[in-house]
Amino acid sequence: MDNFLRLIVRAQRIDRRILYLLLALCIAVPIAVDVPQPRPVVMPETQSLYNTIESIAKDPVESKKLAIVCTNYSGGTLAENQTQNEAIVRHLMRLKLKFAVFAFATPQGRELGRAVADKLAEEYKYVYGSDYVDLGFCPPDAIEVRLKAAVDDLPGAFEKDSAGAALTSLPIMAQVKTVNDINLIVEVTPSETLPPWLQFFQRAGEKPIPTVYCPTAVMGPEKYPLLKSGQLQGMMLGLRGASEYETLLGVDGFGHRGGASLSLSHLLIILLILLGNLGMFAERRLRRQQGRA
Amino acid sequence: MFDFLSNDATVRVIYIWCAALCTLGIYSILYKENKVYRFLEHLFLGLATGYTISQTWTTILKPQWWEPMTNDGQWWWALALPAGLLFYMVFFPRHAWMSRLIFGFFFGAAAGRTFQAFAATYFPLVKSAVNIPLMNPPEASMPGAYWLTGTSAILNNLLFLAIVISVMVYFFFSFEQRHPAIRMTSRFGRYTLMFAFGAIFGSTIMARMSLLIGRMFFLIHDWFQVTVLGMKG
Amino acid sequence: MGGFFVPKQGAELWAYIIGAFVVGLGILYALSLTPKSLRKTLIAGITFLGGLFFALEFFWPVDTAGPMAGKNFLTAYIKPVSSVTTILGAFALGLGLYSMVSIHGRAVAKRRENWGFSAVLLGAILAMAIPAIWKEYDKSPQIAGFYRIMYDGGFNPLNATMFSIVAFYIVSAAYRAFRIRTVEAGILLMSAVIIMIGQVTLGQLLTAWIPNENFSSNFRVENLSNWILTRVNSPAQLAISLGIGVGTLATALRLWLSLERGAFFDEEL
Repeated sequence: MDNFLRLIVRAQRIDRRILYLLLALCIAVPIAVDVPQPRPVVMPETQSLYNTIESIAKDPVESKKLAIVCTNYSGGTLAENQTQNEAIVRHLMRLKLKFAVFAFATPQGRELGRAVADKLAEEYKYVYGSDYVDLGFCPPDAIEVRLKAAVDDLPGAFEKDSAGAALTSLPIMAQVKTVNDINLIVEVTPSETLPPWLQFFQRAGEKPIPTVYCPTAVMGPEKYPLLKSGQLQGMMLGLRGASEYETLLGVDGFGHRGGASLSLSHLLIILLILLGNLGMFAERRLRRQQGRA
Repeated sequence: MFDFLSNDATVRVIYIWCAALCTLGIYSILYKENKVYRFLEHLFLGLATGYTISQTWTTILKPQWWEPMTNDGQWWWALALPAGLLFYMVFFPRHAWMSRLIFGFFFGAAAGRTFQAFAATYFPLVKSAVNIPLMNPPEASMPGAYWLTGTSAILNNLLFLAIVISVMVYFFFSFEQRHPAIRMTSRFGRYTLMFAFGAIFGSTIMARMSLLIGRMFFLIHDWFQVTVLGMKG
Repeated sequence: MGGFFVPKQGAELWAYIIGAFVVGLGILYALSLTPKSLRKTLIAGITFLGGLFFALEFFWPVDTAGPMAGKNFLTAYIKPVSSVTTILGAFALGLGLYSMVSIHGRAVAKRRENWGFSAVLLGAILAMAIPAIWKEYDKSPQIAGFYRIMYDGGFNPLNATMFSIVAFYIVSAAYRAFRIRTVEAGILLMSAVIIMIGQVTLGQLLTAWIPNENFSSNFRVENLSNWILTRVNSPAQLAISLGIGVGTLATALRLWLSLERGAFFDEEL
């Protein structure tokens, strides 16, 4: 028993690089081998997001309006946010819903969001200017004022698309005049960028606009109260949310393919936390024994 | 000379190799401190700064300031330049106070927007906190409900209310928490906060692992399997 | 006055632009002459005015009928104010840029230790900024190709890798630092473990044999994880959020009315 305790204590001084290697293996092996894996259980908030978009598509009036997909992420969180964004845009395109790409936290967000839309547009035969539009980038310190202005005059507030074309000249904007012509707000983000939508836009029209949230897993837990208060109609939490959404869509995207690596890495962390605590208790016990001796 | 840059396939191979080398170079810090990592760190800072400069011009100043002023004849935008120069007064000790005029303007604007922001964000939240059914909850009549659903919904709603109150009590520092009832409420609040922080901790791990999976997927799939070995994507 | 503030063309436009710029500089000069005793008052006044528009626009009653229904007399000015704040905010970029370029420029000029890295940084700024701006004016595929290499081969992967490296440090920290020494730490760990297991497919398989209906469904790990997130985490976050909201409102009022005190606000001007 004592030998076992000493081994556990000695293991506490393991080289950090061995831990790093273990993690790298846990993540790399399932990707390299492409392990078959079950589909995840779909959580209520993800299902609710999916249902929100489905119900918009089924409504003859709402389905003619414009959705806003706000892609406020940068290259740092591509793995989570890009996967979420792809799932959402794919769903919108499948249902033939028109949408606008927009960003205000980082200009890279607009570029990344647009790239996803352009890539999927080829697959779903979407045409720029008629089926989707790029509203460009607005700096974060001006977003509140911009959204306030967009409430009464959306094309006037944004004026031009990212290429400099007047929004009023694009067919997609023909029926889009005010906040009442928006059917959905999608916020894909790794940071605190949801508030401007809730504060200045969501409830500024004749009726509240359904708003859904796709945060990185870090940002998710603090936004659960908004689901209960009705300010959010759905949430796709990090990569696991994206994986659940891909399940609902029936596609094998990155969310699904990364699932096994995510499982193994979580398992490793839990094992290491338990082993670390076991080491602490073993050390205490050995010290007590030495004290008695 | 630079014709190869107009070939999409060549450009793709070049940038995937560059990206792979950058990724491996950054991870080299995990083994030990080295010059390759320092080089890439400075390269990243430079590229990020260059990107910010370019985007500030191409997405803000060019379309919203320069073009309306020079193409559309809106000459009054020229006044924005001296106003913007106020920021730079900070570099002149004698006139540094003038930079506070523009900072003050932004402080004031942010404060002014807070009133509407507060009303729109927090009123629905407060309403959701106090407007929870403690009798005949709707869950009891939903599809899939069974004999315990109604009771559990009421218990969950009571718990919800108790947690909101106890966490607020925990953060109430205006007087010393001496009364046993308040001390116990506060302690309950602290424990429930730990549940919330645990949830955040668990989610944070998931987020960080997801990002690493993203890079590993790139290295193994996009770079090694597709670009190096020529396997199908 | 209406004729004055109308778009101009050609040489007249440039005359107006230069004139406006000179007038702006004149106003700056006049401001610089402000006596010391009035400076704080002037700053407080500008701060108040900066917030007044938004406060008034929100609190002023709106018309209930007619073409201005739902609007007040300030609503029409939101768009110009939006443009002004956007543009002025963009001018602030140079503050950070100046600081960065001056530090690394000096390091290169004086050949300080590791000056090569500073040179790389300055070179990278140019290598990214020039093609990114150039491609706006020159649509040649070479420029686009070079930008793509810089963006997709350098900036993007470096950004993503920098963020992802934290995962390794989390593993090390979880092993060495996460110790259950108190009840609170125990609760935190329990909650974190349930969330971590409940959110991944392998974890969900552990309790997949339990029927997902009626009372037994409560024991499935994904439902337990969801219960923690929605029934325990959610009200705790709500209470924190309400506290933050009240604090933000109080701070905003103090800033707006220049009542805030501290190093920045108490300095002698």
